[in-house]
Amino acid sequence: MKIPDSLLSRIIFAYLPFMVYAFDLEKAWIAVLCVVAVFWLTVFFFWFTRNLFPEKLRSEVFFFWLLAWAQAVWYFTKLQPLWALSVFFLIPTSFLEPSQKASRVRVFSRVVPRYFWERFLAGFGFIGFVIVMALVQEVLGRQFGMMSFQRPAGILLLLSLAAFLWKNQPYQR
Amino acid sequence: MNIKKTVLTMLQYLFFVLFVAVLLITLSGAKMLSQEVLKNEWYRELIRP
Amino acid sequence: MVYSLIITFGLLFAIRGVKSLTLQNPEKTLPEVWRQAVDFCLTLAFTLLYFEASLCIVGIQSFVQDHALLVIGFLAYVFSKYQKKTDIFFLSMTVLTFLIYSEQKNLLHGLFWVGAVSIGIALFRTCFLGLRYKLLFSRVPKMMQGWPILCLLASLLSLALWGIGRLIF
Repeated sequence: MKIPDSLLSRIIFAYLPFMVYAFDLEKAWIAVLCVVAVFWLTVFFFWFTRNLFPEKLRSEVFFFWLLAWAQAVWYFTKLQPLWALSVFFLIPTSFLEPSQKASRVRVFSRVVPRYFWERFLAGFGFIGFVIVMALVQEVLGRQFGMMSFQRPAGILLLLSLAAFLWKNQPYQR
Repeated sequence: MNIKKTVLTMLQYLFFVLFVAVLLITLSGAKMLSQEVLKNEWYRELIRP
Repeated sequence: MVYSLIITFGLLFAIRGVKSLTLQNPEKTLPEVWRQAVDFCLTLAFTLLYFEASLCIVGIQSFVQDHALLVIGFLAYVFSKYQKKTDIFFLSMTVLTFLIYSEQKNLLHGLFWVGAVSIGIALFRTCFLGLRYKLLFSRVPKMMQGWPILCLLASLLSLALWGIGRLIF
């Protein structure tokens, strides 16, 4: 499963499915909490159980798990399963692939707490990113009446601005 | 060693089958629970598109 | 909704999700983009058709209806593995088929959406490829290279496609 490892790329890809949902701020909260909750649960679950599954079937197990969650969320909220794509992009699937370094780290190693902390921060960062985007769309789209910002065109313009700001962060010593 | 590896692989496949079965059963339970939850008026209002 | 799907998945497949295409040789890349669009359309159509057919089998009808996403996922997985496609392709197939199935009025309407989304994605990718090719000969400032310029291109392209779509439809 080759996906880019850079955080910005993963967050942008994870945000793309949100362009299809016609959201207001409240529903954006629900969707993003759903995405991040499943993301944290998946990382936690698969880190400890990955060695219990056959090596050849690990990615299939991951997709089955993801689709089962998407089906369950559909039962309760009728939310289209596009958010499953967001979870897929956020997940660092390297630990499921036997050829990757992360998969050779022992399950109860010293780096695990730091690994989980980084994933926790990534999820938190994604929540913040989605809420800021939803707020800006709400202000520009509804308050100022610029309907483009409620369409993919405006959203992509905002993404471009966010990517520009991320790429050009002030120099940190 | 070969026998040990074979047994371990068989256990892994068994765990996989159990995992799939447990998930399917949990999904059926989730479906029944969702039907009860969706009877609530305020909840339906919350998730209304 | 179709417009949003076209832009989202068009951008996704233009950057990831399919085997990487070279920008330096657009004569070879362009037919490949349309060939991938045909693959996409056929896979989506077959997944939808097989799923609708499985709904007609009396014995498993209630299981299929209750676990629609899993059944669609299984069908998309089989078709994707047969064609040796990437995981993003399989997951996109699954979510798109489910979305079309839940929003369609009837099967013909669903198949029309399949065709519309596939053609739209191919059109988006063609235009995006052309713009990226032109960028190779431009001096993009370092601070705009990568995601900023790609998202800006996609934004302008989607605006243009929205305008054209409003004129035609």
